[in-house]
Amino acid sequence: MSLAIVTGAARGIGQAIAARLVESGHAVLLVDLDERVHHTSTELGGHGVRADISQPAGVERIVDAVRALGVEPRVLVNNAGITRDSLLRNMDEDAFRAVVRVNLGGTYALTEAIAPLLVDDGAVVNISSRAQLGNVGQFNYGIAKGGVIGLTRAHALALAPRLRVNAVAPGFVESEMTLAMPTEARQRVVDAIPLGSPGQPLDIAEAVDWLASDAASYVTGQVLYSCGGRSFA
Amino acid sequence: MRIHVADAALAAALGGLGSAEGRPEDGVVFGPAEVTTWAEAEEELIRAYRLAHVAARENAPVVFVVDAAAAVGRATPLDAAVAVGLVAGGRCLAFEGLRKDQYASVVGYDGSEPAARVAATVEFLVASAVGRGQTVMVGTAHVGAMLP
Repeated sequence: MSLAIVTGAARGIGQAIAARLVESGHAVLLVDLDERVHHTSTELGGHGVRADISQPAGVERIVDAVRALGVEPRVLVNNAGITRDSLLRNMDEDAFRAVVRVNLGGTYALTEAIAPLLVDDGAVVNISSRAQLGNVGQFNYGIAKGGVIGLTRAHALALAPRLRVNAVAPGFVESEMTLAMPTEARQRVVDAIPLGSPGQPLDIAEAVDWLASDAASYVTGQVLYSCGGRSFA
Repeated sequence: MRIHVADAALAAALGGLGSAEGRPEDGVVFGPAEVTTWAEAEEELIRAYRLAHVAARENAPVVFVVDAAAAVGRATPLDAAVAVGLVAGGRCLAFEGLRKDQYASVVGYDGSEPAARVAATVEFLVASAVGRGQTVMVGTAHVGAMLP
């Protein structure tokens, strides 16, 4: 059995990714700042660690947890992220810095720390976003998620042929946050999706599972948009 | 117009548009420095935010100029993260600017291109307001490379 490490795994997309990787036969280490990570990891039969990926101590904590498990790490999924949306003209510097530091800095730091530990033919899957193609109110998030694609490509070149590095870019995915949107606003977003409905966390998990698997053994440095066709509509 | 471009030759060539002391309220051309640590990368992105934030409040044009190799991922991970991040930031700002006619785009250039040619491209984009949210590549080193 090999180990998959999934960040932001206490709930939502990260939880679905961890569950899907368990189905594929991986032992999983769930990482999150949210204390619910322990409950989720117990439910999935995995291991949980509370850690802040945007801080060096948090990254060290994850590395220590990986080493302590004694299972060969094969997959790293950088899913953890936050949003602080507002128009750029109204966005304060703290909102910009926080989003960039967690979504981009955390992904960079954890990849640099974990990649040397991954077995040969291992895989890194980063979660970017369709929003990096441009979204109103998401200058910070767009920069961070575009940056994740820059990391994906450059790490893919730097770590080849030993490891593969790819990204999944979700579109509008059903979550606690999107379900709380005003009905009219939510419907406007859904109406713009060619496939006519929001994505489900499992849709993203399936894409991640494929990129992490041997079925994608000739794929690296790529971005898979899982957004119901919204990336070009 | 504020010209904050780490590439000294390009900054000088952009003198017709503005200077390092120019007002960001009148527009911004930002080009990041190469970085070697996350702290440096974050600082470059925050510089971009600060300048673009001021420009956005005044509906003033913003152009990010980035290394073409970094913009297609042929660079260190941190330099690629900064460049592709700015490519995405240019798109987001262009979307936000549509209602108020604020202009934003990105220019990718490789070092073999004369700075004057890159500067002329930036000047054309600002003057004509074409290519909103697009990345215009100047140079031939990355023809055929897929843009992020």
